[in-house]
Amino acid sequence: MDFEQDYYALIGVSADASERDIKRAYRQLARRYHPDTTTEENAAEIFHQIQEAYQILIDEHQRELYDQWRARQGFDGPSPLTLRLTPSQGVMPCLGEAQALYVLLELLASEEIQSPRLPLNLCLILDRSTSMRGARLQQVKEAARFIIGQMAPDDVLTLVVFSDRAQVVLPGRRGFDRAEATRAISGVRAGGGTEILQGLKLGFQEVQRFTDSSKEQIDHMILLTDGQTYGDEEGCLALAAEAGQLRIPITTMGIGSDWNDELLDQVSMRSGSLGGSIYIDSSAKIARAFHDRVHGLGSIFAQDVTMSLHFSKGVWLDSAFQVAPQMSPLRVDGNLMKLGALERQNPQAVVLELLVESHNPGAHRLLRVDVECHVPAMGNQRARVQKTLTMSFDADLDRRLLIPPDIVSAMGKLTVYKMQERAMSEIEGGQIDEAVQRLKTMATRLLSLGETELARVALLEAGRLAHTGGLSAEGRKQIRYGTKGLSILPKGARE
Amino acid sequence: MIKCPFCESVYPENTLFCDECGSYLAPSSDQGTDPLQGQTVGEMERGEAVEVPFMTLVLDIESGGSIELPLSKEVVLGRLDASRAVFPDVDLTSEQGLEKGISRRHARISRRANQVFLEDLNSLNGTYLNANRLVPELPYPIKDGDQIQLGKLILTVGLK
Repeated sequence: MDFEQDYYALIGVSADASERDIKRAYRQLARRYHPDTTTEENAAEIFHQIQEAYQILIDEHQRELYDQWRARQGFDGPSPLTLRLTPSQGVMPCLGEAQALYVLLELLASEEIQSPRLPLNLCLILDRSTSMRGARLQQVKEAARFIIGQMAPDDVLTLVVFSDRAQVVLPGRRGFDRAEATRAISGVRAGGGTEILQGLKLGFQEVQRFTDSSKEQIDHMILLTDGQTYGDEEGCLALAAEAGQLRIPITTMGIGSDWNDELLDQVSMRSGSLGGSIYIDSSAKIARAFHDRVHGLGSIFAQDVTMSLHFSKGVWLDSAFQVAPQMSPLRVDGNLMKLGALERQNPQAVVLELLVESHNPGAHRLLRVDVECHVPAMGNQRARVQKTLTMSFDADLDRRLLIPPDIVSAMGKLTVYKMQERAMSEIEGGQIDEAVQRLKTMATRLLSLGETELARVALLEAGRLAHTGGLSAEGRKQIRYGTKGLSILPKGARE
Repeated sequence: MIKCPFCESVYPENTLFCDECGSYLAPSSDQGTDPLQGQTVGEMERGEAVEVPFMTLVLDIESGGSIELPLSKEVVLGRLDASRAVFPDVDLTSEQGLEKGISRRHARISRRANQVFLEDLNSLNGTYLNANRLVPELPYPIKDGDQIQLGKLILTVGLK
């Protein structure tokens, strides 16, 4: 039998409610939503759902089947996930026209459930082309040594370096040998061109030797490059998609200003690593980037997180953006969004922009959000949380509503991010004047957000664009990654 | 439908920000800074700076009480307004900031080399150093015992 909902939540009783409790709660709701006695919109639909829930819960046999299904779905017990749902307003005016509504969804790992660090199967794919010579390669080696220091005995670390060809300098094996790894990294010398596909291919092949179908370990690749790759972009994207299917995400990092950010973004996203590539503006920051990434991987709490959105009639999704840990547009497939892995120290936040049709006064359910994921700490069973958004509509609402600061702040930053995306596509489309204007306006918004440095860069680049018709490679990256970094942190993540 | 007052783009009711120009569209609460009456603008000479390695800034408030801050990073004085994501380092709301005409981002104090500077952040009612109004966006050196005025709020500078 297939059930779809949390019937107990629908009726408003706990899962151990007695028959009498269920009956009482049902009668109350039925009176309220009976199509003959109410003018509330969607009442017929809600009434129908209440009846369905009641019929199942009141029948001993059906209720047992339902409880079994619930247990399998992970409804009971302490939920491993916390899903917070905050609408931009708790009450909406009754207007004769559609209105905007914003919903902030925050997903956090439960504090109550202890999760041991999972073994890592990590492959570092490092660029050793001629341009890496000097401080860059030195810092990369330092960073790699740091990662070596962080590895646990049951981790697997593979080290691949590439220029125009790739080689394995440290073959992965179970039972990690720190001294051997340190020796391997010391021997790396710079020289040659940059062919990313060579590195990716070899890294992918090596990492697969240790993948484990039970997924009780974290498989991951980290690619670091400082240059453009020529002619093998298609191959890189195809490989990323293949890695995505095998659930081996790739973190991509670019250092300096000469690499192809679009390509690295695509490689990362297609492999199922959300948020795109990471920009490292100076070699001194390589170690920090590696550190953050490895700590993030070590704190992975849930994998394959999917969020599905179920809208009531008269509610549409305008757009969905991830706003933490990074700013990034989300692809909504049907009603499904893939959110990748949830790291304990990096909660996720999503903002939905909705369009809500005119509703009659009263309470209406607008949206149900289901989140499902695998939690390795709980024997990899499927965990699931559900939240619904019920909005009350008021015919003569005249007071000003206080919009939650978190939403205003998230939307303010998101708006700047969107302006940046549009400016970039305008430049690509040759609409230089429009892009110059947009960058200038964006600089003003950045100033009011207190982002003076980023605002300065935006103004500088607007001037450059007006004179030369293009941005500097460095400025372009500073603006793109700077606005992306304007993400908000959900509460609980702040130190 | 609502119209962006700056670029005239049209959006559904209750839209928060204009996608075109980034303006905040929701009706703002009455938290704007009102101009004060009877201001005098005096010219001031940019004084000599005293070179002492100060580490701590103490601001004595006229109404009593004081704020102590490390000078390891710059300090923005103003009025917190969460709805506009303005979070100054020193929030003067509780010092009657709104009534005394303090802007959300009013002034900044920073230390460069061994000098401490005060800079007005283009505030509506101005920043005064020893009763002289500062030219906005220019850093002025300050010394121990100086009097700073933000709108109508008077603070005395202590440097340690």
